[in-house]
Amino acid sequence: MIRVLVASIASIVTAASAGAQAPTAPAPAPTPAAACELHVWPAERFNARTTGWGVGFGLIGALADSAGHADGDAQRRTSLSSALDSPGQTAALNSLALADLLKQQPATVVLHDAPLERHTVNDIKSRRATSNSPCYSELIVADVLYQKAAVYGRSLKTLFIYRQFGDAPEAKRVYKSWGGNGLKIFPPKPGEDIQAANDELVSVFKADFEEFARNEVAAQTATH
Amino acid sequence: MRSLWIAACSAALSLVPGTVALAQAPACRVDVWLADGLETNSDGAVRIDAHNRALRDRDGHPSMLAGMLTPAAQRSALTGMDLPGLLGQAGSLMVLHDGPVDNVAVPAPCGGSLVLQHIVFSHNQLSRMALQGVFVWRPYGSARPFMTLVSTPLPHFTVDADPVSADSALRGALVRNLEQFAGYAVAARR
Repeated sequence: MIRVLVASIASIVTAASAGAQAPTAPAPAPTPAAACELHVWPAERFNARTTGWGVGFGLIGALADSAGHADGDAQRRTSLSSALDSPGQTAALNSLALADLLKQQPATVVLHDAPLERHTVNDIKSRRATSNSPCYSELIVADVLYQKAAVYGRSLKTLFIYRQFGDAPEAKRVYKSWGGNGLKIFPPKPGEDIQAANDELVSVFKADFEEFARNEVAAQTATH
Repeated sequence: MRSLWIAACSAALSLVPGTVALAQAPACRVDVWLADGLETNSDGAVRIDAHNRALRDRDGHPSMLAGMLTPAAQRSALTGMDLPGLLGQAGSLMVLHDGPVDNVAVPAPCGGSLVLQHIVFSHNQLSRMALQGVFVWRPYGSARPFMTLVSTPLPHFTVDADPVSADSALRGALVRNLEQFAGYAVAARR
C-alpha cells in the first residue's frame, strides 16, 4: 500500500472542504508541477558492525573480534530496525522538503511502505512504481548501517539512491552515495530507556539524507 | 475486529463468576498490547551486508517459525504470569489486547499499558540464537514511559527441532524477556 502525501494536495483538499462550508473562501491555486512524482522507498536491510582492536591482528583477530561483538550487534540491528522501521524512515524523510533539498521540480511525494528487495535495487533499471508521470524520480534507501570502530567511534551511515527518469521508462541519471554522521547516545546500555537513542537515530538518519542531498546537488552542478 | 481478552486476576476470576468478578474488578488495570507476531533477524557467518537481513526477513526461518508466538500463543504464554505484580502494579487487572495499539482507549485511573512492540527471533552464525523483545511500559498518569530491548539466549534451540519443543522454548523465552523488562522498568522508576 502506498501513501500519497503532498502538502499541496492536502492544502487543496483542506481548502476544498472548507470551501464547501464557506463559499467565499478563495479557490486553491493550481499546482503547476503536479505531474512530477518523487517515489520514496525505505531500506529493507539493516546492519550493525562493531570492530575493536582485534581487527589489527589479521584474519584470526578479525574473526575473534567479530564473534566477540556478534551478540551485541544482533541487538543493535534489532534496535535500528525498530527505531527506523519502514514507516519511521518514510515519515522521517517526508518531514523534509525532499524536492527542494534535491533541487528538483516540485513533486508529489509518494511514500511506499514496503521496501524493495535489496538485491533488485541495482539490477532493475526501469521505474519501480506503476506511473506514467512525465517527470518521474525515485529515492531509494538502500542500506542502513550502524558502525563502531575503535578509532573512529560510532556512526550511522545510510546509502541512498536517487534516480531521475524524466519521461523515460529507464533512469536517465542515477546518483548513489552514503550519508554518515556520528552518534552520541545510541546504542543504549542494557536495561536503559531507549527512547532518546531512537530519537537520535531518526535525527541522524535525516542528517544523513541532508548530507546525501548536498552531495547530489554538488554532483549535479559539477556535470552542468 | 479487536478482541478483548481478560486473562489475569485469574485468582479473582476463579473465585467468583463473571459478572460478580467484573463488579469487584480492581480499578487499576494493566493493558497489554500483544505483538503482531514473530519477526526474525538473521545474519550469516561472513558478516557482510549481503548476508544481513532486516526484520520480517524473507530468508530467515519462515517454515520453522511460521505460526510461532502468534498473538494467541503470546496470550497463552502470558496468562500464567503475574505481569501487574512484576511491574509494581500488584492487584491490577491484566487485560490482553490484540494490536494495533489503541491510543484512544480511556486509561484506567491507575496501572498502565505494556506494548509488545517487537518480538524478534535472532539468529547469528557467530553468536547464539536469541529471542529479543522491544517493549514499552506507559504508566497511566504523569509518569514517563519506559522502552527498552531485552534478549534471552536460546542455547538449545535448533532449526530442525520439533515444532512443539521449539514453540515451548520460544514461549519460555518470551516470559523471561518480560520478567527482565519488568525488572528494568521498575528499576527505572526508582
